[in-house]
Amino acid sequence: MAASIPFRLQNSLSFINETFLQFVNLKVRHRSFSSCSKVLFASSDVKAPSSPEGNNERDPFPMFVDSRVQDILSRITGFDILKVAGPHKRHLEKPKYKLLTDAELKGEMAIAKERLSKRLQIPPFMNPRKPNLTPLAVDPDLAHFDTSSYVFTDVTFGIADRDRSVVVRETDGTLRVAPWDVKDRMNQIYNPREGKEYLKPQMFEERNLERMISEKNYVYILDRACCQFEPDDPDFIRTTHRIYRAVDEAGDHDDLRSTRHFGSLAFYLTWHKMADLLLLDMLNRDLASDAKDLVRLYTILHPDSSCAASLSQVSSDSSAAQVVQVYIDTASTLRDELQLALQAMEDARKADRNGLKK
Amino acid sequence: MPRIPLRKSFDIIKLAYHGCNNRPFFHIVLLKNISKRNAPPMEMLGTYDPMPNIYNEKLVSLDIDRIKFHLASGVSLSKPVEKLLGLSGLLPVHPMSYMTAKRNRQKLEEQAESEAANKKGEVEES
Repeated sequence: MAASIPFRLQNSLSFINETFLQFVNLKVRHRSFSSCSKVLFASSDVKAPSSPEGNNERDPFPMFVDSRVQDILSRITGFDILKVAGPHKRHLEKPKYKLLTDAELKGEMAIAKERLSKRLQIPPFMNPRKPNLTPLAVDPDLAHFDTSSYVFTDVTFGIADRDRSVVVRETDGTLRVAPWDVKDRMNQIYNPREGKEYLKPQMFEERNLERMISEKNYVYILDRACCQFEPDDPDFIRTTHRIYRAVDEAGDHDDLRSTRHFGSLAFYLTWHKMADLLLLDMLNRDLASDAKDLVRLYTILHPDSSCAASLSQVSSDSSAAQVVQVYIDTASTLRDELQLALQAMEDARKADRNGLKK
Repeated sequence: MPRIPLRKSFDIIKLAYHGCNNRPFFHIVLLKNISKRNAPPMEMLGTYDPMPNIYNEKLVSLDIDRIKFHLASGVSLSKPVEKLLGLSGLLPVHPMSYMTAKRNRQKLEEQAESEAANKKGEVEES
């Protein structure tokens, strides 16, 4: 130990300069990597429906964070307080009783509503992340320095999991940014998160997932996926998209309403131009404003489509029926069913109005 | 009466053993050079787990910001820590790492040669 000290003292200054440069480089490369999210779909996602316009090359994330889109998504999610605050697993506690005036009760309800609305935050809709293959340093002289590789994790105080730099020195002497799965594992080791597991749970494997889907445990799977994966993890994208497709095929859209996943479902279906069944569901449930919002979302996500072009000629304060009619005429694949549902909804409204007049 | 001069005291980043029997685990700590190995550290700067996990990785965590601060204020490093920081890319690779690598490679080559010779011998016998 003592022998090495003079060696360090003599050279420390020049070393430190190099060090800083190296680490600055490392961080810069890492950042630029995370910012470039324009990625192709991962091989596991081959089954995802690919539209002729090449949606796979477009990045949905900037669209997703657009405030107009976020407004629409949170509006159509709905807020069924019994469902949001419904039975959740929690520790048993004695209930507290309070005597309140009407004004106080109103205040308490407002506070509770705000607290519950945080449960409806929509998980980001992103393209899968891309592996970083460029090594930071290649050193053939260092090959076989050890039989196992070394993983170095930056545990600087206050650093976020997504900004953490993790590097691997492999046995052949190359130093590279850690692959995403290693980085996720290191984050879980040095900054464990509740609900996330170190090894990927088996329920996310293909065959187990299919079984869970046939049991219709949609919200459970989606909640678990949100805990386990980052939003740009190919596994997260594969799982959630599989569920969205299953929900759409089974027509169980209402299961996800008033949960945080409804916005993502609507965005996914609209992004891939397969929102017809969702629209049908909305019309059948007499949710006219939601249907209008969904068509508006379609025009925002596909500004070049014929639907957007013909809807721009319709005035913005036109009724939901008119807007949906434009969508049925231009972009729909389930024309007859949608037309019927729209007609039925209109008739029911008219009957209601007449009943009120009488 | 001649007095024994006091040992020179300076700050050093070194490994402190925190494992148990047959399970080594180290903390990377800042200490005085004259303090005991597992003395309460002035600062803890990371950990080092020398036993490979199921993915054949040895895990090292480093508080990079604080280590850089201490390096800039002229702290010393023990040899194992120097090697680790060299492998991490924070410092240049330690010369000793290169030597070990070379020796390991030579050993592997010798092994491969002897195995090849053995095989040749077996073939000739049969």
